[in-house]
Amino acid sequence: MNREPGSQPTIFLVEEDDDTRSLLKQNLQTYGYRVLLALDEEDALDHVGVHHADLLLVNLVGKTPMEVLQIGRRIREHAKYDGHTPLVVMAEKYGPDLEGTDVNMGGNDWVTYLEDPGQLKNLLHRLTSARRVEE
Amino acid sequence: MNEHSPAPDGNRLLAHLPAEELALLRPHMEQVQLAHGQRIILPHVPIKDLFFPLNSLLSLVTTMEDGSSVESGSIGREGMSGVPVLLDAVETTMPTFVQIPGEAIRIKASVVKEVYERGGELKKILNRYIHTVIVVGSQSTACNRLHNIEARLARWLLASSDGIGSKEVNITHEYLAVMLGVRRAGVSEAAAKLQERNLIRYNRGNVTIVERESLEMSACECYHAIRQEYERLFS
Repeated sequence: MNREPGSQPTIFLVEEDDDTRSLLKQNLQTYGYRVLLALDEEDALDHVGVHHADLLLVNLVGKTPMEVLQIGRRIREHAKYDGHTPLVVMAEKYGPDLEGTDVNMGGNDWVTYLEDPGQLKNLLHRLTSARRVEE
Repeated sequence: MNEHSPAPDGNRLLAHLPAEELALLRPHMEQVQLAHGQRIILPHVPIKDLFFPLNSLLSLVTTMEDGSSVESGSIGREGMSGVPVLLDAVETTMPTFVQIPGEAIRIKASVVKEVYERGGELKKILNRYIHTVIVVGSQSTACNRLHNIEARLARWLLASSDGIGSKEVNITHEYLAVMLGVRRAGVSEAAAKLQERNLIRYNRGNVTIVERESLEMSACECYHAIRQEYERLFS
């Protein structure tokens, strides 16, 4: 399931929030990504792995970043993507000390604590560019 | 709250008062500095002071038992806090707190109520204002249910900019999420979309409106409906 040379990087997005989903998908497409969409964990496990993805982006409602990280890792494993495929979790509740930070959780796993609108764009660009160099 | 000489012209309600009624209020006016997060109305506590913002912004927030909350109205230089006092309700269920710090004129509720009861121009002006509060509340209910986050964010930024008289609005993601009743990721993506189109610039809780006309076109109809109603009643 490798990406064809020269093609757009693909993000597998798991976004539970109806209000955010379409907005996030549109923004990712504007940033130049192909987007594969899942509505929740179950939907993701059903569909992930059918197509190649360069990065998993997960945003789930009512869970801590660590819980979402574990779910994201399960989805990545289920898809049989290699363990280096970047996983990004968008945190929901956090204090001012974390705002604007992207915290590495080991390997290529990240929790992003959004504050500036360009933050997610920059993180995704950094991770997908590094992935291209590796390949 | 630091106090100095009051400048009532900066508030649209006070600016509309005839000289004789303003003279009745003036001895009781205090110009005060309001700090971010300061609670000026607490739920079920009698309202003692009314605040007429000059360049600060107040938020009325409805909070549910599970802690989720949404802004049900904001008050800038076009309005005043403490409407329940005028309606003999004395207190209210919703807290009002300072969203954007700045200055306001504080007058004792009993003083304003006394002049209001005289039935002069102040009563007419404040009755018209009460009508706009009802319009904003009704429009906001529909807006929160029917309009997308991007349009609501544009509306909120424009209304707040109008309320404080500045194109710079200081507000964090966290508060924007509460104000709009949405998740932080939603606010972030809506702001990203507006920023990609160069309508706003957002940096660490400081939003600058770059292209106001285009931002107005991105806002939902609620912004224009409410603004037109204010203009009809107060221009």
